[in-house]
Amino acid sequence: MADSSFASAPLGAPAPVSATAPAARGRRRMLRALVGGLVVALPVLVIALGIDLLAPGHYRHMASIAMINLMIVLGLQVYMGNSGIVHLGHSAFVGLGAYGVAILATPVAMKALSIPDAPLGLAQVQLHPLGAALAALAVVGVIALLTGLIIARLSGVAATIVSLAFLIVCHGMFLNWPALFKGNQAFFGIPREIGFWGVAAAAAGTVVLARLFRESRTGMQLRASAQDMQAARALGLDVTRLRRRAWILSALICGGAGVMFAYLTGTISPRAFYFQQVFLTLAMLILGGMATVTGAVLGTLLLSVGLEVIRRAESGLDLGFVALPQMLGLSGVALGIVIVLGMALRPQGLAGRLELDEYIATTLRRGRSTAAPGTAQGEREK
Amino acid sequence: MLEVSGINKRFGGVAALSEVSFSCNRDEMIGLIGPNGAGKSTLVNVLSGFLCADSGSLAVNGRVVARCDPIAAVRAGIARTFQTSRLFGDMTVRQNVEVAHSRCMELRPAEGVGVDPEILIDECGLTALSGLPAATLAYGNQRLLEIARSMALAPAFLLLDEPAAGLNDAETALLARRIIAIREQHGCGIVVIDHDLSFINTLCERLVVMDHGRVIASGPPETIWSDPRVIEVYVGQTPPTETQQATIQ
Ligand SMILES: Nc1ncnc2c1ncn2[C@@H]1O[C@H](COP(=O)(O)OP(=O)(O)OP(=O)(O)O)[C@@H](O)[C@H]1O
Ligand SMILES: [Mg+2]
Repeated sequence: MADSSFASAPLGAPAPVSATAPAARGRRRMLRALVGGLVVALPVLVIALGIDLLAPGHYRHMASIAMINLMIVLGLQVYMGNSGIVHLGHSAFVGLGAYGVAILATPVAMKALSIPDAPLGLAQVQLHPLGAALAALAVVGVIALLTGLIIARLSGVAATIVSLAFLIVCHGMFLNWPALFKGNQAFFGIPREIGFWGVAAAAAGTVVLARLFRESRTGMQLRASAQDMQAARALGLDVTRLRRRAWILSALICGGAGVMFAYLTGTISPRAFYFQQVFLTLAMLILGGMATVTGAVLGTLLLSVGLEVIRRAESGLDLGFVALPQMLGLSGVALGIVIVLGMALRPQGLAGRLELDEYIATTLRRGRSTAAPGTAQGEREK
Repeated sequence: MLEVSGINKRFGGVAALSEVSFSCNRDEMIGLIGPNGAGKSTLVNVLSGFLCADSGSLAVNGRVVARCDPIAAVRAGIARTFQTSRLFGDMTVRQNVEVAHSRCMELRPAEGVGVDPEILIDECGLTALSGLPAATLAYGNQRLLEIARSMALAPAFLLLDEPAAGLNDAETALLARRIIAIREQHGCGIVVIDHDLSFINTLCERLVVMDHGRVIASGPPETIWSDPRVIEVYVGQTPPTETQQATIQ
């Protein structure tokens, strides 16, 4: 971009009297973030509506799972996208949320069969689903607060390794404490409280929440620290505290996704919250672009659809003119290829640096400035 | 008043700073000069809390500033820039300044309310570029943006580490005028480091000369340039030491 104004900008010209005070501008920025979040959430709701009206029934379940994955990816984006630190432990929080409501909301009669020896008399407890969800999130919040005390002090690889260790510890706990978590077996009988539209609303709400966080004071400062840590220190930013806040919000979102998952499917098992989920959601975020909420949505959408297509091809596909043979294991390979290609061609992810609404605004502005040449100044580069 | 007294800092065997003392008034612009490896950047790092001094103290307006704590330094009103510019590259010019101002409102709310990021951007001549990612700016504008960002902390004292490094003569002259204009608007004390002596001379009423980690002279330019110790360092009668050679970038 030609940038010739350095020498030519007027010097000592009177500063324009700013129409709005910085505080008012801050409020406007959050309002813009809210609108931007709604713009990004809109496609989610439109797709949900399309599936609800047009697609055969079993697509609704698939789409529900995809939207829960979207929540997890958004939770991941809140921490990883803003702090720039790779996070591999987020599925632990998904599991904690899911097991939390499983233990608290499952009917006592059911628990007499599945976890009769639960500690603290939990086998005799049955909370209202909403109360159970809040209690589960409170547990997630406390655990996030405690783990955040450690992990927020760490940078780069060290933080990533600790997040991975946390995943393994939680998985070990689910597996090896059968009195509470039922071990390797499925935990069944969780009330199925949430339907397709409940999940869709939660996913859309999470999109907006993640976007509000991104543009908030904390989010902006955290993103700045990810760009240049020394410059962040020079501004007196408290990077540890910023990371801790993002870590906790991220955990709560992932925990919320776990709650949704448990209430949607009614059955959970530890395997669902382990490496496979970690890598799938990580791939979604990286493919879409972790810097933006738009990237999280885009990556989830593309990989969800892509993997479903591949899954069908795996079990043999009749295209009418040619019938493809059964190809087991294709989805794993294809997932790998997509990630490698995506990273090679667009390392910052498909969405890049701009959110959907920013991209639209930039395109409109560019269109306007080509209509009236000579006014194209100060617009974004891409 | 910025008061630096008796600062010592050693790196292994090298005394990067020995008994460094000087002071700067709130309406003063001081030039900190000295050959490569003299300890100028180390001093900035100590004053801004990036490095822990082995001994010595720093006070702003009579209040002692906690050591090795960048947050305490910012809260006390000390802002700094870097010898090589460090911007938030993917963020826009405006966001770079807004981030600093948002932190100012947390650490120095009383001073921060008087600062408007948009006006700072304008004073640095960057308004037309305010929507661009900082990394795409020309080098001279990056240096100006770093200054605008520091000023968004509403500092009482600004430490500029070689702001003119890498700029051509015209850019350096413009930078000098912008620094003067900003200081007139916002009135903070400035300590500016640079090897470009004519740049320093246009800006500063007083010079502090360092060599081998010591302050060897300080005072108005006329007396500095007739000081035999300064002449010796600058005319280079003594050959550079090993450590000096090692730090020439
Ligand atoms: N982090 C560090 N670790 C070890 N030694 C250091 C460190 N920083 C600086 N030094 C040493 O301290 C001395 C002073 O360095 P400093 O960078 O402060 O010099 P300077 O005056 O800023 O030089 P220049 O004009 O080249 O920027 C040098 O000998 C340098 O090698
Ligand atoms: Mg230096």
